[in-house]
Amino acid sequence: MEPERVPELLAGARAGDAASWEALYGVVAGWVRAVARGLGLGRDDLLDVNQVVCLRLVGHLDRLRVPEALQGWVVTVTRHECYRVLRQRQHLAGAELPDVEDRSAPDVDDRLLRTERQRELAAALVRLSADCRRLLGLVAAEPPLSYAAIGEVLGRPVGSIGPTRQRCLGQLRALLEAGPADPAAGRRPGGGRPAARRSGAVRDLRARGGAAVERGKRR
Amino acid sequence: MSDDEDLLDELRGLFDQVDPVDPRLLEQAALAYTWRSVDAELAELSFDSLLDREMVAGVRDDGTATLGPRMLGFGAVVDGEDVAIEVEITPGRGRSLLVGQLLPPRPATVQLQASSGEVIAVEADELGRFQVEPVPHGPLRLRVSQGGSVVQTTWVSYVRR
Repeated sequence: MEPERVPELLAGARAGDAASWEALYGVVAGWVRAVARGLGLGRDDLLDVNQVVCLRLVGHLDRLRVPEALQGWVVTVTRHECYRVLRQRQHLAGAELPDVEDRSAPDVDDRLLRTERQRELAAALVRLSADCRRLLGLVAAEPPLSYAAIGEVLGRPVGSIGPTRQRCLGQLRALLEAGPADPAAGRRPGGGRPAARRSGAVRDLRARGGAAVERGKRR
Repeated sequence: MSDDEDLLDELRGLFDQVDPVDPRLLEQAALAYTWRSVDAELAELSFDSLLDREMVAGVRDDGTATLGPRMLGFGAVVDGEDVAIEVEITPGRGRSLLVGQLLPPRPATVQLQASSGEVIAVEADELGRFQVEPVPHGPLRLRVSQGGSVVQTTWVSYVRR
């Protein structure tokens, strides 16, 4: 993943060099993944979306003259494709359009968490608001997404991303410092939210699991 | 502020570990590159009913909803002339029908290409109408050849399952 090589890789891919293309997509895939996750798509849906994004990008290479335009193009196409895939599935399921993030989350194996610190971090994330979790998933994308791209995905003004990021990281830090929630403690001071709503497997920390956690109290 | 960066770094590490980039994303990309062609004019998507919330799903005999027809429009400029390809895909039970219209109306050879590698070639009549049935699953595109000119649509997803 070498974002600084994008101009060179883009030129190589345009000239027909498959190795350049594959290296370029190493950068692009991180964005596609982050956007799809941020919009609540699961792993199979992500594959469907990615397939179209990479095919489109192959067809679009000659039109992307400005390397700086790559991220914006990828984010917009990915976002649209996510909506298409979700909508097709929803129609096929014969269901009313549910909130996108209501889709079931893949289980994340607790055993994947190597250190105590990671377990604490994972536990704190689960207790963070779903909005913050979505935002932090996008902010932590590797290679990074611009605030403009994150704003587009979340449907929020660009100017709000920086402050929200700071606020969400602050909340995460506070949860970490508070330590593991005690179910008997009821409400966390200041948080206004039930402290521990669930324990056990940490589900999809990035965005979707949040929905699974939130679902119960939504309506 | 640097505290924020440290925490974010930790988050990146955590996400990397529990949810790494699926290698299949890169496999799909490598395969997609084999579809690269530089001989055709690209027709971009100009309309997609799937992005229109008002699209009405049909209702089957047993009362369950079914996916309504999907309308797609593609446009390109070829030699200074606006060219459009309009498509309607009607899902059936395991067998979908694609009906298309070339604008301006003209006879041409139309290939439906599926990302799986499947290619179905049909002829558009003198009114520019063509039909493909059944429609393969997966991302699709159309390639319209007439005389020496080739117009190719951008890929669109098509989920049937």
